[in-house]
Amino acid sequence: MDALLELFGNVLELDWKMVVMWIIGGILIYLAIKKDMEPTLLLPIGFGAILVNLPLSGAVGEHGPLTTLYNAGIANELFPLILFIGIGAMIDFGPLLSNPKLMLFGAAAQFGIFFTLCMASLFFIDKDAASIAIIGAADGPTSIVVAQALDSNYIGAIMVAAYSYMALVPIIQPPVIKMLTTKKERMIRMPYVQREVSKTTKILFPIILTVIAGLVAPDSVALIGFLMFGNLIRECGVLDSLSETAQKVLANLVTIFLGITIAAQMQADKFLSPATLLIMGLGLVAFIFDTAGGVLFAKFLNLFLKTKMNPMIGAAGISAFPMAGRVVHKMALKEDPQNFLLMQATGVNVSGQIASVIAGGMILNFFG
Amino acid sequence: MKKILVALLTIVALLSVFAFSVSAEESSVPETSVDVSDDASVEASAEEKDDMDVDLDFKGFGSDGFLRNIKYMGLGMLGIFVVVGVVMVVTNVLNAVTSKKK
Repeated sequence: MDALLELFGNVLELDWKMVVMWIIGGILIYLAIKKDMEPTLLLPIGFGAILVNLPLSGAVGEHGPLTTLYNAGIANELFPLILFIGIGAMIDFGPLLSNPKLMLFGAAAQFGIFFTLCMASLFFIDKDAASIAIIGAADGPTSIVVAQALDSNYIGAIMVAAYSYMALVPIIQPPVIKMLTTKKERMIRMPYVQREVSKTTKILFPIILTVIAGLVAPDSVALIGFLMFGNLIRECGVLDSLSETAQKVLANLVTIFLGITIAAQMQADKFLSPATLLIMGLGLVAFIFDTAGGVLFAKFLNLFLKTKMNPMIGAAGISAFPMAGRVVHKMALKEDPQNFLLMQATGVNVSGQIASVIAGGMILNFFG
Repeated sequence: MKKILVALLTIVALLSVFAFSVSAEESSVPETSVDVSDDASVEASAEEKDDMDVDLDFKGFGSDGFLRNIKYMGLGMLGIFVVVGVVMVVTNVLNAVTSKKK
């Protein structure tokens, strides 16, 4: 009996909270595989949640590999910044550069971040409220960097909320858009005029944007700088192999480490609390008000314009790329099979990526 | 383009007025918020403190932070629009300067 206890005594350390975390991990894995919801992150996060919630798990603790990875890449914000290089290399700013006024919708669609900041501060202290609000950036690396820089206690819940809602954009956005627009507005056509963007513009844009954003919000230099560096590698035309490596190998490698390491924050005693449920709710509020902010801004602009814009493109300003753009395009086609909004929606979607990083920098400026 | 600029300037002006008026109102109101975490850590026993550590920053419902952060909402949105506005102008200039003249 003593021998059995010595061999398997750790089983007695199991408690109900760990089992609940296994179920949560299983749900995330199910959503990733069966529903194809952000599988690149939900699957490692789900599996990692199971790993760290086994009794006396060797994956965490002082010398555990997940703890080592966490200290090496999350605690110092390195992994999400390196991932941003890959993301920057994937982005084509062409549709945005050919129609720069679309950037305004990207800016407007960050309203949900600041609205959620106010709502979250009803329940949390400022640094946690700000970290929760940045879920509205709809951008994993930005959320991780800001939450880590502000030393939030709820990084695990914030990450799960951010990536889950990014995957749920096709479900969250349509009802909000329909509530705020009329059928007639959704049917507004926006003919796309192809304007050539010079290679010089595409090369200078990331450099100039980094300087401008960095002067206004110095805390955003790392975020915007790494994103634009990746884009510069893509656009310069002389670093094709580096661009391909950044887009594929680097992005995939860092995503693997990031996903499983974030789970180090999903230990049952930290994750299972009323605060987690509240954070999930506030994350949803952030996404809803991001969508509402973009759509309402478009409607406001239409008051001044002779040639009206389809207000749905405002909703594409959420940084969830390319899903938000596709959602708007599909909704437009549903209302009118001849209404093609893909290019405009993609331009707005890309501008949302820029605006969300600037918003992250603003949040760090205010609360860092 | 001109009308969009007018609309943008209108929004910037509204946000500026909003942000500065909230900031002026806040500076006239004395600070009365209580630091819950300090009180909790002093009063909790050693055993309770371990349980409370995770929830120390979850302060329960309180409106002082909400009023304070309305200012940041105005400033944040204003800041984003200003940066995006500048980027927009610079992009238009870049396009104009670098486009091939037929």
